[in-house]
Amino acid sequence: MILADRLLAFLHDRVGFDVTRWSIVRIAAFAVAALVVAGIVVEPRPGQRDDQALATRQVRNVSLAFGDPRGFDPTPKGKNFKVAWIGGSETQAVGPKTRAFIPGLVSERMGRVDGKVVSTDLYYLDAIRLVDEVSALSSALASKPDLVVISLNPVWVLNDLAPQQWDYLDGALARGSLWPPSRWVLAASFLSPGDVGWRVLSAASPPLVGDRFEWGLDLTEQTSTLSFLDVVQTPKSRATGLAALAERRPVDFWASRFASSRPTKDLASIQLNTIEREVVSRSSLNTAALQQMFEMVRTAGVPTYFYVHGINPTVYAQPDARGYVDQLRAQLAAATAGQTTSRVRFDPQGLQDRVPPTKYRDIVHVYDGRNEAAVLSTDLCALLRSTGRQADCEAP
Amino acid sequence: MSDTPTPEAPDTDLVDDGGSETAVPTGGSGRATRLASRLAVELAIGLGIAAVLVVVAWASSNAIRFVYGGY
Repeated sequence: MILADRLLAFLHDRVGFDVTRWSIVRIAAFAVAALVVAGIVVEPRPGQRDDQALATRQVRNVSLAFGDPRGFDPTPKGKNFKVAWIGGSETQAVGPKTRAFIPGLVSERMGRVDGKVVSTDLYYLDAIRLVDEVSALSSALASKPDLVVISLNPVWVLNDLAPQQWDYLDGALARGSLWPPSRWVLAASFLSPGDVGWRVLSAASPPLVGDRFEWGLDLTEQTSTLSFLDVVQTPKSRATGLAALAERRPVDFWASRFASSRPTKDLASIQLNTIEREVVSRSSLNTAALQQMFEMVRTAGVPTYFYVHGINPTVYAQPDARGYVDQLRAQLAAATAGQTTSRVRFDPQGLQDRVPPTKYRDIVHVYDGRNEAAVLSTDLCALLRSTGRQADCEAP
Repeated sequence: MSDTPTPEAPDTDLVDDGGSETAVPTGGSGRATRLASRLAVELAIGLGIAAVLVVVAWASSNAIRFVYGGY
């Protein structure tokens, strides 16, 4: 304010300019007009889709790079049978024999639907938060899919630690949160005034403000070496992907505050501890997110299939783990009571016990996803046929 | 003070009365000059605010290639 006062005093002395309420309105109008005009003149800077390694011609990850507040870049509708599949790392099958997204294996089994090739947009993030799945669903529904599939990771789905992972996609919740009032719970919990402000300015000037992540990358690159301080060189981490995530994610701080019944450093046991934390947390926030997703797909009228991925059968055989999964099923059943319809399906049982035992890398990541794909394609084809669709649904 | 500007009489100029714009008698060419000057200053401030918003947007863009632990 002091700077503004000095500027106004300077303008008053030099050119006799005095501020009135109407001059403030005109200044705001000039600023918005400048952003709009500049947005028309400047070339858009589309984001880079992340993690192309497992993509195929018919299945691609439409998530943008971590940190990009635009979040997702769905493909145009086209003439294909379009599937929007939302999930986290449990949707990968990365083993010695198979390297694929499980949705890709499913689409191979589904073949054609109504004579159309199945084309899948995968909204994928490592350790995706349930609220990010809400954002992804909002983006997916805007792209007019023919079918929506939503994977719920048993480790994170109702875990109250999950929202602590990151916050760069919180602003995406602004889309469609105005009505009905049931969506205000998440909006009020996650949206800041800044998030809403950037969304509004992004709409006014998409290439300049909306694409600010790409501009920011350039700015960071050009200014990262500028410093008045001595720069200390530190060895860079060689970790990538999930390993890099596991090294630095803020949620681990909160997880470390939880005194588990089995202190351990083994990854599978850490994940089991996370499930233990989940079933005792009884997060109402994640329940609200889950219910909002059901409301969104019911309103959109798109056939939708929710499922819970299984956990490692070896771990599931332990009484503790089985107990946690049973409690999670009960909590999910309570959270989704009355939310399903003939077109919006969810079975809290999940894939556990329905998929023949297979090898896991840890507690939730499979090496070979073909068994999961077989069960999922059977369920999806049954859903499609019940809605009058003609699906091939033959194994490749 | 009023939020509603007072209707202007012929050959008047806008001046500040602490909040609203009111009119006082003056010459026509002087009025046009002062109005142009006022609009020019307001345009310059508006463009400056737009430029600042853009720079702040870029600088607060989460543009770190791997964001975990960056905050």
